[in-house]
Parts: sequence; C-alpha cells; structure tokens
Amino acid sequence: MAIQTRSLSREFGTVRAVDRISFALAPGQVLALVGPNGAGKTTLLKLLLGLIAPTEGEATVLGEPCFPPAAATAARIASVLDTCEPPRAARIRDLLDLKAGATSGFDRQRATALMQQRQLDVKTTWHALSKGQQRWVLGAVALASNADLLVMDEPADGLDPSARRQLYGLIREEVNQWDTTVVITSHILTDVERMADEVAIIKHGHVLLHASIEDLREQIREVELSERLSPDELPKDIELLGQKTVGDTQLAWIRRHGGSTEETLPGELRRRTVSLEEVYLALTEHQDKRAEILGETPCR
Amino acid sequence: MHIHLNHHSGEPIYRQIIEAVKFRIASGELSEGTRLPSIRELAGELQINMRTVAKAYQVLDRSGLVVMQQGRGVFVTSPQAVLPVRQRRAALLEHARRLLAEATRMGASSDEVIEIMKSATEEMWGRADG
Amino acid sequence: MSLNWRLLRWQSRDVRLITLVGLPVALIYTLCTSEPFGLNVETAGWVWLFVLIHSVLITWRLGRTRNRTFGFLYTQGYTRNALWGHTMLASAASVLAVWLPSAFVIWLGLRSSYQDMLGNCWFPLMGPTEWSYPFWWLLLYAMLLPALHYAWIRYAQPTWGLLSGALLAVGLVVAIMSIWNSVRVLELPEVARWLILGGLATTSISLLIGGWRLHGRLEVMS
Repeated sequence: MAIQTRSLSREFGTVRAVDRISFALAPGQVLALVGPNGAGKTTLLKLLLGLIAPTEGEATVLGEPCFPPAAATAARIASVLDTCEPPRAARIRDLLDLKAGATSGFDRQRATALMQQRQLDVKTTWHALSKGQQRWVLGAVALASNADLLVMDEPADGLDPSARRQLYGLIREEVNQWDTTVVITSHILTDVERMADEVAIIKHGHVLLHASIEDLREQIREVELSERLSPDELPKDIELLGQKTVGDTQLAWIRRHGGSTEETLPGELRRRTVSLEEVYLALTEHQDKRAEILGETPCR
Repeated sequence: MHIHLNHHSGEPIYRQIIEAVKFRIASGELSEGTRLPSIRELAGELQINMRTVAKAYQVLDRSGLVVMQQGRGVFVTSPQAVLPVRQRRAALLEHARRLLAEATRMGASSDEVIEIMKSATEEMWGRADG
Repeated sequence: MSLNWRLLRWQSRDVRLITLVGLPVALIYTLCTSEPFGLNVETAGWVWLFVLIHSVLITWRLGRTRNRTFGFLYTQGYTRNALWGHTMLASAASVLAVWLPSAFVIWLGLRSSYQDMLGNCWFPLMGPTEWSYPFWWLLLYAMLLPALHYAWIRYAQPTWGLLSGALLAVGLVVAIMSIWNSVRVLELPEVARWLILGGLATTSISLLIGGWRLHGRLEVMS
C-alpha cells in the first residue's frame, strides 16, 4: 500500500478536524478527496505529508511513518498545498533550483518545457503570476520531480479549462507510466469523475464513503420506490444512501456492495445511473435523513 | 481507436469501452484479426487508468469477442466465436427488458419501440449486409 | 547532511535584508565609537544590543513556522536534518557577513587610524588592546543564536504549550545578558574565566543538539 492510515485523528483545541480516519491506497491510484469547506481535507493532506502530528492513530506513506517525517521518503513525495507558497520575490527558476537541490530525480528540462507550454518565462517573479499561473508552476514542478507520491490540494484552482485538462492528462500519464500514487482534493466533481480512480467523501473529519469511482458507477442507482420496493424490504446486500421526494414519487439512491447493482434489481424496476455529484449530494446533504432511516446516530 | 467516453453518465468506463468495441465489431468497422491498441496505448489515449482498460479487455476476452495473446497484442476474433444461441438470447432478452422498462417510464408505445428498433437495426447492419 | 548550496541560497534569502542592513550599521559603529571597546560597560552595551537585535531578527525570519513560505520550503522534498542544518548555516553566514568586516576594521588598524585622524586622544595608543573584542562579540552570537533557535523550534512543537517556547526564549536571553553584563569577565582569574566559558559552551552545544532533535518533530502550521 502506498498510503495506509489507522484511526488517524487530529484535534485543534476542541475541534476534531480529522476524526479516526482509516483508509488505504494502492500504488498507481489517483484518490480524490471531496467534501465541503472545512471538512478536514487539507488537514488530512498535512498529516500525510508529516507537516503536523496526529493526536491519535497512525499513518504510513510509502512504507514509512508520516510523523515525524522520515528522511527516506522526503524526496519521494511532491506536493502542492493551498497554504504553502513561495516568497513573492522568488523567480520561477529559483523554485526549480530549490527542487533540483532536494532530489536528483528532478527533471529540470521537463519542468522548463512545461513552463514554456504556458508561455511562462523562468525569470518571472512569483507575484507577477496570476493565480492560475502560480498553480501551473507548482503543479509542473511537482510533476517533473519524479516523485512516487503526488499530493495536490486543489491543483486546478484558477486554471483555465484547457490548462486544467492538460494538467489532469499529465497526472494520468505519470500514473500510467511510473505507477505514481496521487492524492488530490477538488471541489469540481466533474473533474474528479474524469481524472480520479477513487473518491473519498469527507465531512466533519469523517470519511462518509471511500470507493473506486468505477465501482460507484456500477453499484449506485437511483430507483423509484413503490410498493414493489420499500426501504424496509431492500435486499440484504443493498445499502440505502439517501432518499428524496419529487412530486409524488419517492426516489432512493441505493448501492449494492461488491458487485453490479443491475444484476440484483428486478428488470422492470425503473432505475437510473447517477453522477458522482448526485452521490455526493445524497451523502452530504441527506446524511441526517439517512441516519434517521437507518437508525444510526447522526454524525454531527 | 477513438472512443468517446462519458465520464459523467454514471455508466462504468470499462463498460463504455466494451460497448464501443462491440459496436464496432457489429458494424463491421473492426473486422476479424484487427489488432486493438495495447492496454497502455488505449489508457494513454483515453487518459484513464490502465486497470480500467485491462478490465474491459478481460471481459471482451472472456466473452470471446477478442483474444489477448501474450506479448503480441489484442485481436478481434471471428464473430462466430461469440456466445451460444441460448445464452445469447437470454442476454438479449435482459437488455430488451431494460429498454422496455425505460420506454414505459418515458411513456412510449410498443409500436414506437419496434419502429425505433427497426431503424436502428438498419442503421447498424444495413451497411454491412448491403 | 552534506552542504547543499541551493538550499543554503534559498534560506539565506530570508536573512539577506537583515545582513545587508546589519553590515554597514556594524561597520559604522565600529569605526565611529570614540571610546576604546571594553573600557566601560556603556559602550560595550551597544554591542550586546546590536547582537541581540541581529540574533532575534535572524531567528524570526528563519523560524516563521506559520508563514506560507515556511510551509513551501518544508514541502519541497528536503529532509528535516537538511533543513535544520541549513537554517543554522544560513544564520552563521549572516553573522559572519556582518561580523567579519567589523573585525577586520579593528584587526587591520583601520579603526585606530580613523579615530587618530579625527584627533581622538585614545588612538592609536589603545588600538592594539582591542584585537580580542571581536571574539567576544562572536561569543555572544554563539550563545544567543542556539538559545533563540531552540526557542522557536520548541514553540512549534506539536503538543507543548505555545507559551513554553516564548518563556524559554525570554528566560534564556535575560540569563545570558545578565551574565554578560554583570560579570566583568576580563577581571576574573584565568581559571574562572575558562570555567565560565566551558559552561556557556556546554549550554550552547546542548541547545543545538536539543534543537536538532526537536526540529525533527516540528509542526508546520502554515
């Protein structure tokens, strides 16, 4: 496993920003963390990067404990964080110098080529760049550093659609060619659907759902509830993710674990595939309702 | 091989690939013995995970539409090698049921469905037969 | 840890302005002080104030763990040891750049000649007696910097109270300054002088080692 956490938690004062998160990520997978602002995504990334210490639980990245940060993995991890940025007066080439000093794997020519693709001169200073350009520069440096793990907090923030598409393409190339593991956060669920392999939906520091996006496409359906199918009589292996009423129809999002949902549903049942965005909304907005239905204590 | 993928329809990507290959075989665009792009090539072209392509090829291989030869590539097999009649009918029936469920939901009549089936059949096979 | 010029250059950027301002200030002070150094506490006092301000500024610039640029440096793939080592090197480089020119002004007799030219009656007579003073200044840096660096590293520790670091810094600085200003080191017998020197060296080295160990568990809160 490229990443493994067990009951990983972090408190700030009385607030639990990350609350007992356990998950694993295999090498060569792209994981997208999604969730509302303040859900704990960035805190989770910082824990994985060893920038902050867990208050409980543990995490390993590339086989080494995250905290205190291990010397063996320092140069094998490249990251772009929203809360970290170079000094205003630094030039792009200073950033390249700094990265080149950290790892011999850094491909300076590739980094320079990526800058030129966006008409960026390496002599430009940081504060003269637009937000999108800054993101591009950081992303390009991370991609050119031949890391085994890429951690990117909103890497496409401020990028225009073509640059965004290009960045995702570059990340995918990196993954397919070198089995690089990638963790990103994003608010743009259509981007996540396009570029990630796995998604973790986080709210209030909890992981509400972590699954392969292909599995979700196969397993989650929106069905119309009727006397033929009521929430109490769902087959055992089917989980009710959420419910809503449109007019006088009762709609439910259901998921069958470990196989295709199509195979278990009666052929006549009206069903529809759902997008990740709908899954996300079902989980984050209808969470309390779902808890009510399932008789769980709602996660605060 | 250009495949248009819809990442947002909720349909698994590997199935979209399978459908696209099946469609191309059915329409004669891919003939017997044609070499499909390698897993790496197709994953690169579509900018998706190699595992997704591998899964699609495995399913196609298992259903006998293509054959994966170690070190040589993935080739389209002859259409005769496909499912036995009984199995094929069962699979088709399942698809038809789903189509009809959807048609009922939209309020379509049976005549309309049959008419659409006819025109779609002509569109796809008309060329190959004629 | 091996010397990494790229990292050293990067970290030195943070203290460049301090160095560039500190250098001429130190030079002017060294050239223009009319009384011989060490003759009385008042004139020596300005040196300790200068060294204190310089050390605090270096520490502040290099230890801003809540700053975005600090977080940036700590996510560029360097090991904690490399980062810590080059923080120390960047501090030392700033000190040397400020201190060396002033030291040479004394050692080469430039100060003496300049004061003589101005008609100062102490010079050139007292010139040669001042050769050891630059070393005392350096000693003061060697005591203050490890203490201050230790304090900011401790300040940024995961679980310890934020106050402990700040209190420690103030405490150490007050202690060092009181010893420095109350004990007329030069008037003590030689044995006592070496004992004091040994004690200070042990403290500084312990603080350096302690800082290095704590730095491995530093939290970057940017």
